[in-house]
Amino acid sequence: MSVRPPIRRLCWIGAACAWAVPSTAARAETVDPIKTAQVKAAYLYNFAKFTTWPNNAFADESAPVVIGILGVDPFGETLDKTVEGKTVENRKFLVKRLPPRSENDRTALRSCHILYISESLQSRWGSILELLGDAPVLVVGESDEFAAAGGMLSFVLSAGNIVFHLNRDAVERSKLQLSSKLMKLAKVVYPKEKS
Amino acid sequence: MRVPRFRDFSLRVKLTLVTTLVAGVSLAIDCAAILASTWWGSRTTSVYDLATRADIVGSNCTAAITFNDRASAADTLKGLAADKYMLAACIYGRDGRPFADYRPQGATVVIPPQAGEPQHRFDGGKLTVLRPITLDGETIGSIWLAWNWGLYHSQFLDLTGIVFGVMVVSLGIALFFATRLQRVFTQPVLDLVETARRVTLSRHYTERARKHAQDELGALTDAFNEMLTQIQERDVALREAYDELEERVRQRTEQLNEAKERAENADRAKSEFLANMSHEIRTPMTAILGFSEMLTEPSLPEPQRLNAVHTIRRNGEHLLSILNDVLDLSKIEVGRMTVERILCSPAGVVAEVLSLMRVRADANKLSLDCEYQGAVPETIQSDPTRLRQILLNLVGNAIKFTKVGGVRLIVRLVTGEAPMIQFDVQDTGIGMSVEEMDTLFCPFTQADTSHTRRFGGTGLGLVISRRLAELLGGTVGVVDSRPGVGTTLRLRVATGPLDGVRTIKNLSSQMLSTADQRTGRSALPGALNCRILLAEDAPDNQRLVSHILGKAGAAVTIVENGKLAVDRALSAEAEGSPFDVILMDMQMPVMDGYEAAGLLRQKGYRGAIVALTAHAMLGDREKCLRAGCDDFTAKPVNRTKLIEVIRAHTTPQPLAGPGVGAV
Repeated sequence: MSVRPPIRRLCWIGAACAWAVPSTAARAETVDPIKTAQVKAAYLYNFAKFTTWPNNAFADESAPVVIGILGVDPFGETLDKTVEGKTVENRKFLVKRLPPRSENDRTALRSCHILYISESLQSRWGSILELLGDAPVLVVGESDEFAAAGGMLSFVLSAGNIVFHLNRDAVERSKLQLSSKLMKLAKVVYPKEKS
Repeated sequence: MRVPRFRDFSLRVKLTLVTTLVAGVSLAIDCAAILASTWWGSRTTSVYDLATRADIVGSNCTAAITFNDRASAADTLKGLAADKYMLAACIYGRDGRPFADYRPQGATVVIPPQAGEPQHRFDGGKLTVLRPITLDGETIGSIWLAWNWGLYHSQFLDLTGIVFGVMVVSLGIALFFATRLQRVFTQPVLDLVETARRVTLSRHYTERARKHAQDELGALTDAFNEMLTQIQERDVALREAYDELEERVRQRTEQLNEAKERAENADRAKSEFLANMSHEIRTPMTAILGFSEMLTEPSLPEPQRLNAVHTIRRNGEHLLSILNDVLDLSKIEVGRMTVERILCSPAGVVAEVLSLMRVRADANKLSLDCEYQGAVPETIQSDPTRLRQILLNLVGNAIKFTKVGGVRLIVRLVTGEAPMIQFDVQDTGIGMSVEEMDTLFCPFTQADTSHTRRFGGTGLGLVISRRLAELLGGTVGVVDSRPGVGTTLRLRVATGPLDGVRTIKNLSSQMLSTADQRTGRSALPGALNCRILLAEDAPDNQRLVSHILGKAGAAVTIVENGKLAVDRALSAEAEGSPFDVILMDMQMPVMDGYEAAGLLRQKGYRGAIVALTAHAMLGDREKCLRAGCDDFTAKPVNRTKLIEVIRAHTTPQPLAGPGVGAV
């Protein structure tokens, strides 16, 4: 390399960072439900930081980011505490537990910015996703199957840590934009590359 | 040895040094500025770059930090390996504790265990930077980078070296150009200096300095050349003045020498004259005294007595004429000689001269005639007495120096602005050589001193004649003279204005006869038969005059002084037997002639008084006449003249003619 430091361009770093490298950090296995919920809540909250909604997704500048919980609520008040007082791009959070049968209500579904679909509604994932279509809703679930089925992000317990899987197609189909920084942290990415 | 001062260096050196110094200083300042700014610039840039990079890497790790993915973060940091000067990197979590780090192989850098405040530091050759990592405005951690600045450091030193080298080369080039270009200034100055030096050494002010350009040095050159021109002009002027002065001095000296010579000559001439005069006087005196002595011898035979007497008389007469001539010459020389300007007839004067000279000419068996060429004015304004004197001298000389043949007097009028009457005296005499002609008009040189002995004369006649001629407005000169053939001398005198003056032709015979007549008359002998009172104090003169007059038939009464004369004259008149003529000596004791005459006239005496005076000057004549005399005669007494005068005043007036005053 004969390029002198003061002249070096920084696209190098950007390029380097564009590579997704799986993390292999090892952790102790603790399955503390409250901790798990905290972690997941934090993840949810943090996902918002790496997500970009289209302008029309919000009524105005002060419209909050709606986190909708569909199905069984695994967070409890943890989520509310986590997002309390926090903002993302000056938007507050609003946790909305969707009433039952909302899985059929397209409007209700689309009124969320982040939609957590519980495992209990696994059988309805397909129709829910269909109802959502390309709506700018970050669909988050649990288990690897969720991501495989078309959910954008899903929490997965792996080696005692909460990790998440990503369905890129789902993300691309919607009008959402997900930061590559986030996407590259995903442990598993759907569709998997055909070798 | 003293170190030479800067200001004594040559202009060339000074200019070069100054130019180079200026170039050097400005170069040094420029280079220093460049280096300094490069140094600080690079530091600033490095910090900025590193900080920016930290920010970028940090922002790429936000997700990893957020989701606690250390592996991902470490992986991102690995990207920094692309920069081989990156010493280490570390991401700190929110708690400030290391989250992930990057450490290339062999790195010795110590990663701070705790994140501090965001800052940058230069530590030796290391630049460290700590930047916060923010996500959505919230600091979630920090990133620390350590970068090897040493390379830049050494490269900066390289730059310094290059810059320095370039500066030296530039200085060298500047020096080179300065050395070349200083000539623009120094060449004109050196030329000027050189020219000035050359001019000063050679003292040739014709050189000029060369002008190189139209600037101040050119102006200096112009001024310098202008000064040289002025100096040159002054030099030339000085030289000319000097030469002129020298010439004038030379001329003056020459003039002075000439004047000195002339003065010396005059002095010598005067001494010679005196010597000659002394000789000329002593010679006849010797004879007179000698022969007088001889006469005292009682037993001297009669023929010898007679001879002695004749000798004495002859010498006395000669002495008299010498004295007269000397006196005349002296008067002329001191400018006391005055000439009249009265109307006189040139023909009359000529006639007189001829009649006076005829006796001598006849005695020498020479012819004597005159010729009038053309018309001659009846009268001219001149002095007849002096004119006659000159002509008598010239004609007398002609007769003297002619053995055979004769003398002719040719008269003609020379017309012109200043008309002159010209008398040529031609003789067939012995002539003169050229040398003789040169000395002709010098006193006491009668061409040949032997002439004086052979031919008589005083040797002063021609000198006097020339002087008198000059006083009469003319000249006397030699026309021609050939030894053995003859001589012609020419007299010219001014005539004065001739307006309305009649001219006469064919004069010769007419005037001659008249002159002859008069001459004849005056030659008539006859007794005087009158009573004369002689007032004379000198006994010798008393005896002489009374003897002459007595012999002529007059009765002479002698008195000694004027007083007695007055008394005697008046008493004689009172007695009824007045004197016919009173012969009054003008110089007498008790009462002189002037007084006596005056007194007599006062007393109403009307008889003739004739003055007897030794003074022959014109003024004296008038003086006598004014005093009351009727006429005068000069001393020494001339028998013929004396008798003539007495006769004139005792017989009726003769016919009109030229002035009868005997001179």
